[in-house]
Amino acid sequence: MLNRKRVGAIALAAGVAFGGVGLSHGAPATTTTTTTAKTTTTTTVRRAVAAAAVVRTPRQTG
Amino acid sequence: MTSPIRRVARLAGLAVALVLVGIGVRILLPVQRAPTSPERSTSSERLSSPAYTVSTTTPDTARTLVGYSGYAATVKPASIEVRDAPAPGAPVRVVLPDHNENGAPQTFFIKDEQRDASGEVWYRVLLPIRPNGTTGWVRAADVEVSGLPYRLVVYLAQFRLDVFQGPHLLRSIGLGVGTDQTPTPGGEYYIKELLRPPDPNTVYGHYVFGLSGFSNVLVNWPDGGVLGIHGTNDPAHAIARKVSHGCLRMRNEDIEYLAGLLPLGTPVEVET
Repeated sequence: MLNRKRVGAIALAAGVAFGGVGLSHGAPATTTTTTTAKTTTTTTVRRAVAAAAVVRTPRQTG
Repeated sequence: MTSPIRRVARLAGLAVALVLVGIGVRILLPVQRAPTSPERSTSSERLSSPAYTVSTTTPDTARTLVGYSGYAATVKPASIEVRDAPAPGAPVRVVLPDHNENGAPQTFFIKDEQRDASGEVWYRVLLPIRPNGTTGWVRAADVEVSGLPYRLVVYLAQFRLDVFQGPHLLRSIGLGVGTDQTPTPGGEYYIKELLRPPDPNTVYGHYVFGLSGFSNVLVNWPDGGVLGIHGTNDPAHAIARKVSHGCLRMRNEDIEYLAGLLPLGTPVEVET
């Protein structure tokens, strides 16, 4: 038998599934295809990640 | 008092109403997929497939870069020719290797894009060479493009660095800046490398970001006087003072925060 918690959970899941209801899905990459009169260009842009550190004695101006 | 059957029926009706609202939102509003997550991404994210595709038929001026406030270009071939104009026959301004002098992937900040006569896309990029602010053109096919979530703004007079994600201020960080004899030059730069000194107990502290710009005074410094943002082993005498040879110094906890956040290519605007 349905109780209040179960109905609430079903409603929330259904709302999220069908509507998104404002939740961010994130975007690891975007592919854009632009077609002009001369050419078709496909550009894939991935979200940049934090730089990997190189172990090195610095020589910046300090 | 309400019977259990009537209560369940009322809740079921509420559930149906929520589903209908969800469908309505889905139809009326586009789903926002902007890259806003501030967390550090994992290596698996780099390999994930594209989240969505945009296909358009457009004029020759069509832009290929959409969705981010800034973009980094990482060199793909063993070396890249940077030209004076967006054309295959334009003079070569400089040839740069795929990794810089410190072993970091050669990365540029993209300032503009344009198509040549054949329709091929070129990017105008900020270069890590003298004089500060030098730009050149690279073929889009020669670089891998990534979207940049963050930007830094430095206010030298206030000894402060602000970290922005889009329009949102994430953190304000206290700084030490160049002395009057070796001032930090204002301008537009980007992060070209992140170094971790073998000895963390030096004037550089725990991490050093190498910038694309150079000191205007120290021209004979090793590696040419590259500007940097780094930590310090002496915070009591490094912050809110003119103490450096041109670099920007901050507390180690602040440079560690930035080291875990910022990608190569992140733009750095230095205001005098």
